[in-house]
Amino acid sequence: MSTAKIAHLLRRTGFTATKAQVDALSSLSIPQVVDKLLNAALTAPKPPDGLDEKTDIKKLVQWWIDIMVRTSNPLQEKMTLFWHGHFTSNYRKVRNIDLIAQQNVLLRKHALGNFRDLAYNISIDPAMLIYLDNNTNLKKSPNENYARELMELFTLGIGTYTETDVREVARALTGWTTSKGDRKAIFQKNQHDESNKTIFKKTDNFDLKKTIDWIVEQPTCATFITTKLWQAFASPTPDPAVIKSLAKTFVDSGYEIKALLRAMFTSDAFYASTTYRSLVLSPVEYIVGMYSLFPNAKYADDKQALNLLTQMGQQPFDPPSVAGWPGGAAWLSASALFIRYNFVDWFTLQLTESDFALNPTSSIPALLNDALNKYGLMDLSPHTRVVIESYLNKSNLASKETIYRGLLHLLLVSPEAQVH
Amino acid sequence: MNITRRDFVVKGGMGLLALGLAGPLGLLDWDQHIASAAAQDNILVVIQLSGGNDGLNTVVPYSTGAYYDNRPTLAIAQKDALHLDNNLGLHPSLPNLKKLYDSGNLAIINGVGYPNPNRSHFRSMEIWQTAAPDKLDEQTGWLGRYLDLTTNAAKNPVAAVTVGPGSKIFLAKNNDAPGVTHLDTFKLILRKAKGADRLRRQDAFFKLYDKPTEPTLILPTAKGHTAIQSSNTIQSVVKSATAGTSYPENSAFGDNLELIAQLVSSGLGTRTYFSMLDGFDDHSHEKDEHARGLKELDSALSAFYNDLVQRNVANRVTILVYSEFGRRVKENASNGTDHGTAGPVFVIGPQVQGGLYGQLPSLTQLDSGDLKYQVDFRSVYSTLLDKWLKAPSKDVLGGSFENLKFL
Repeated sequence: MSTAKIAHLLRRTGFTATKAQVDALSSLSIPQVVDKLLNAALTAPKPPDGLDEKTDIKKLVQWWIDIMVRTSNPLQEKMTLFWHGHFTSNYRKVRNIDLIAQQNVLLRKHALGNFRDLAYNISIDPAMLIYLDNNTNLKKSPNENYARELMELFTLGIGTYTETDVREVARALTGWTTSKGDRKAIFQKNQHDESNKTIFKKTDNFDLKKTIDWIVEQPTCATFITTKLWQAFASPTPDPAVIKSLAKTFVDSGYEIKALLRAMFTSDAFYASTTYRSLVLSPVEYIVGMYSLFPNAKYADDKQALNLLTQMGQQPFDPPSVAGWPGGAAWLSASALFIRYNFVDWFTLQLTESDFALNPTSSIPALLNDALNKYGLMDLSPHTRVVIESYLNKSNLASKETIYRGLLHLLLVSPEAQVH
Repeated sequence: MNITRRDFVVKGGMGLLALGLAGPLGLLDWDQHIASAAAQDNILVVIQLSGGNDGLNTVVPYSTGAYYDNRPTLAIAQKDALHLDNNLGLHPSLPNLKKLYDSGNLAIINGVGYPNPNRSHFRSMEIWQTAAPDKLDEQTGWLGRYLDLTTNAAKNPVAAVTVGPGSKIFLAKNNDAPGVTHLDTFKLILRKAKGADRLRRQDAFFKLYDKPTEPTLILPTAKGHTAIQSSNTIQSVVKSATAGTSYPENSAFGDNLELIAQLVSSGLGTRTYFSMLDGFDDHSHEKDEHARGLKELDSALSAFYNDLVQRNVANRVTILVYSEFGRRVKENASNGTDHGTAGPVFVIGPQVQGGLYGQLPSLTQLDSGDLKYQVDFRSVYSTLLDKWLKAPSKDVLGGSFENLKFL
């Protein structure tokens, strides 16, 4: 039972959960495993610099995919991916790949840090200043774009603020822009509206810092962020009582993301039967999981793979809207599913017989179990097992590369491999 | 725990699939069904302009002083607007829509919106897609409810099709509208598998998705089932893409419309299509950005219309074009406009009674700087349901709305 829990925890906090990974942790209690994951050393990989804004977005995507595959701290990368879908920006509007790369570095740095710090720092991140137009939010005629999305999507959720709050927050954020040339965040005092603003019924001389602090202090903020993290890491249908308790932990910690995650990953609800397999793997999680199982396979710099990732619906740095990616069942549209299935076909063709790392055997159940353990699909449904055993039974075990390819393809296109 | 067929339907968020699960994935039945459904049925193509299209700079009130007062840098000059009458003109990037207007095939409904306008993109899109402005978390789309009244996934897995990114418009209890983007990849591809191994793998793949298994796998199994059924149906009837008209280059939206034309002329039993064009959230640099977006719309729509005519199916097709909201009357300091409210809606087709409908809202009697809507968007839907799709609008919309005269 506890190995099943550990496997569940590893799938949610990382990209793979092979039998070897689970076994290595099986002597520990769940809280011990959670602490080990949360306290893993943080990483700060340096993105390639001098990227060409027109052609090099794929280089940056490839760089990040490689980081996710090879990282010593998968949870930090998963959280970076989560924040990228939350505090999102799109390279098409920003038109500066270096700034997009800088934003990725910022999100990774704060991925497991303090939410209030993150909210403040992303507000003056140059790519974000450009993406949501705060760089042209001026005293004489404010631009509401950032103010609205800050509250609707980044901190509080829809229906928790008024149109007046939007206009007042926009005034409070006037003056923050990017410098010409080197595109650093700068504050232009003469473009800032110094007069009083009334935000959530409090009247004050609000500037950016005071505004972020006051917004984060609203009780709906902790609930909103807790709910969104629960839906990303636990289950799409949170129990309000669980959220309430977790949100309290979050507030009491002073908005420490790690404290919230620890409470989430050690809660009973995280291991309830209704959370099991309730999340759909995003395209990035799907392919990173696949690559991670075969670290020696040659897939790097393959443009075709990145095009397929885009067609599955998730090219990093190119979210469909300021709300990030829709997720859940939306990942499983008919066209996106065929791209997944066909991606696996492409992927299996990159592997040679030795890459599969399966033990030679003439026993079909032994071959299948070896594959399930090594590929982290130990809990295959009886139906899928019957279908795949039947495929193996009809095949000639002597043509190893052919049958390994067929076996891996069927496992990775199965319903089990689309969820976690 | 046993899984009932009802579970598969409900938890999979989709249709009475179980009915279609018993037999093989053979297509003879589909051919018959499609043959009977095709040819005579009217088709509705819905296009969403995502991001909030600036209605005032799309249908320009060129004789209204307040328009020029509020838009010192963004206003379209009187001489540049493509005049529709003595007050209104189209943005200069819409010459082909102007031609459709002149030939009586474009109805423009001005001032379309809904009570208590929501200025969030996502909520307002949801309102337009569900037609339930007063209900949060509505789980069906307005065309999803239409689907449920008229068909189910087992009868026809392609009763509605989304081309490109999805939406809530087709969410339904007994249907699961597939999303299709490229036909050449909308099927299982096994590049190097050969002979018997190829057949065995194909067979096993289909079997993985041929029935509901355990509760935790209902969603991915049901979605895979939808993908396989719709792929088999579409691939068995689709005709090649030999269009004589030229769609704009480098336009995914144009490609999507071309695919819709191809599917329509293939005689697929699809009554409703959805596609979107993104990029209308012009908070800054609106002049160039908006012109670019409208140009893409204009050239793609015109190519689509001509393509439908050449394929001899135009008479069966009506196109609806809307955006989740218009924009603030007064421009901001970034040479753009912030989120607003009511805007114009286009209805296009040979069967449409072209002309101007509704009313341009006052530019001086505003609600927090925004236009007051004149026509409820559900009146547009109601007209399309009653007059074009021949479905009871009251049952779909949960109330009666005044029909307009464009059909």
